[in-house]
Amino acid sequence: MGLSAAKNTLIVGCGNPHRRDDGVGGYVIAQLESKLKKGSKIKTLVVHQLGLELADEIKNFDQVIFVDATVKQHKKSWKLAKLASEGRELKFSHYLDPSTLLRLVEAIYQKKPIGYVFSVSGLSFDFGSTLSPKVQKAADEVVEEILRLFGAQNA
Amino acid sequence: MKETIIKPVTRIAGHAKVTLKLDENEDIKDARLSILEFYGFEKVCEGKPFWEMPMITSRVCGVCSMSHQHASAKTGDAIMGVDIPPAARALRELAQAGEVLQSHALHYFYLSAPDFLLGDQLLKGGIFSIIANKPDVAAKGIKIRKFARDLLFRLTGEGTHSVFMVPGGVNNTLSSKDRDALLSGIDEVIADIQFALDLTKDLHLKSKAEFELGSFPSGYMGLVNERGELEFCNGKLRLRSNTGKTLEEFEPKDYLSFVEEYTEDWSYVKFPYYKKLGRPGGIYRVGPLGRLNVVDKINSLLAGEELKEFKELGRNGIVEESFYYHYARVIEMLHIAERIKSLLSDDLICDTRIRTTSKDFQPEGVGVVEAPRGTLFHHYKVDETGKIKKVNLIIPTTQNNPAMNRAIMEVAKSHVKGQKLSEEFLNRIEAAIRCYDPCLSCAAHALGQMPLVVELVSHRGEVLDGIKRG
Repeated sequence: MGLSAAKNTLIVGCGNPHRRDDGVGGYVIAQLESKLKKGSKIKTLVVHQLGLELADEIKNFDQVIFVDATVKQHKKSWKLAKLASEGRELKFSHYLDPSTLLRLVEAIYQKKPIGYVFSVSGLSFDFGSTLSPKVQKAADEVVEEILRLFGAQNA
Repeated sequence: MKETIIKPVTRIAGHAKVTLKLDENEDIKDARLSILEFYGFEKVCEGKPFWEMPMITSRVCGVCSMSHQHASAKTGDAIMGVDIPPAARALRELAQAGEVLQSHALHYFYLSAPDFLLGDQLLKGGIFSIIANKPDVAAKGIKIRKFARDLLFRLTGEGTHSVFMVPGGVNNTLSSKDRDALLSGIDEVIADIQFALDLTKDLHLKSKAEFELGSFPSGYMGLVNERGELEFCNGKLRLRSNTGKTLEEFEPKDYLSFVEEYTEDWSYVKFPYYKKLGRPGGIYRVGPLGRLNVVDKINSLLAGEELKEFKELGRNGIVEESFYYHYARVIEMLHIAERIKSLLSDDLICDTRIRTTSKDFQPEGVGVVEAPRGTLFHHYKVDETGKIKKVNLIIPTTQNNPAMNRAIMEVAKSHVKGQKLSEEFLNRIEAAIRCYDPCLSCAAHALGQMPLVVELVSHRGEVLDGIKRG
């Protein structure tokens, strides 16, 4: 996979916290923040959606991990994937997908942070600020996985 | 008659289809921009208390949520019959400025820049090629937008869909620490906008023909203050003709005496017009070009000078070509950045008296603001307990709908020859639509992204050709 604990890393939680499982990104970041050591190489951020202004932030990192809900149902409830460096043609109106955002960073700032995404299979996207129990369990597993990957110097 | 259909249009918000009809001689007879979404927000709001409306209606749109919230809060002020405290008025103006700035920056630097920076090269390299060729321009767009988003976040605690403006005032104060942080960044924003303005003027000098895209006569509408200056939050509505004559100047609450809407069975978006001139003569345009055409002056130093230069490009101070929306948009960005600096420099902005209230409800209220894309109307009727009986929302893109149809027609007349459509033509049609920065989600009160389909249809109804994008 190539994810490196030594790299300067930004973890971005995406989603709407008022639409139940869509808020899983924010939940994961909140859990991580309570467990990360001071001076950790990991920085965190929570956003509703990916806007192009994020490019200015992302350019400062070697590695970016996005955490987001998906309507796709993964076997294990969540999945970690490396983002393709070659994306589709840029199509956006007011928000971007993670691959497009990374391509934008490369085009503007000539920086190539490596991108990963933890996608968590959502079960309910109805109104509400709580995660469904199965998704909360998956989110806790994602937190543990990130802490495991980044080792003792960060957590 | 033959017909061309473009579906879906790209780099705008929502879904749309363009149909071009040819006559027996294969000349363009009609052009229709059909909006294919339906949401019905006005109906959803019935029965809700009016004080919840700013929060509800901000969900109409993720781009101009603050404008909806502002128009809704002003409608609530009118229902309560209150004048809000001066600090609340200043904070509302600051939030409105933040939204217009972030929306204009995205549209100018990313959604429309390829149209005037790359032209037909866009077909070869795509938007990434423009970014790679002009990374300094792209980076400035990001910086401006980041500043505006930061302003909104510091002011409201949210990037979008905040609960900031309420009937009677606002919910949050601005700390002096946040004020100072914002002030420290505003001069760089002003400099970046001046760079964009110089770039636009340079392109205008080099390729005036490009700027002549989508030219036709129409009326124009926007808010003005008592000195006839550019205004986004208060004042009267002014309607001007294409000859520069002021046709009307009226209180927003009286809008129904001047504006009427009609519907077509091929689009979910209505077609507003100036009542006295009827249709099609009563077509009017709103948004950056509409606003700059109706004002006499801009009350900020740098943008005020730019307006004088801009007005000289037209006749009697009226600039008609749709492509000048982009130029007008940058002048507005400059004015807004200057206003932000002025508002932040006044200690009133940190005053903590930000809300007033009343339990004596009027049966109806109207609230009008200038959203990024133009004049936004909210009109509510309530019962004695304040519950909504009826809602009327007139959205900027709706008001520009007849004009967008007309702009498409003008482009089609000069570009469509025979029964085939070219990529270059599709690009020009899209460029004409994008001048208006349409938010079709707003106009149909719907959600979605906007790709475009064009179809060319004969006078007998046969589809002769079609192009799809998105």
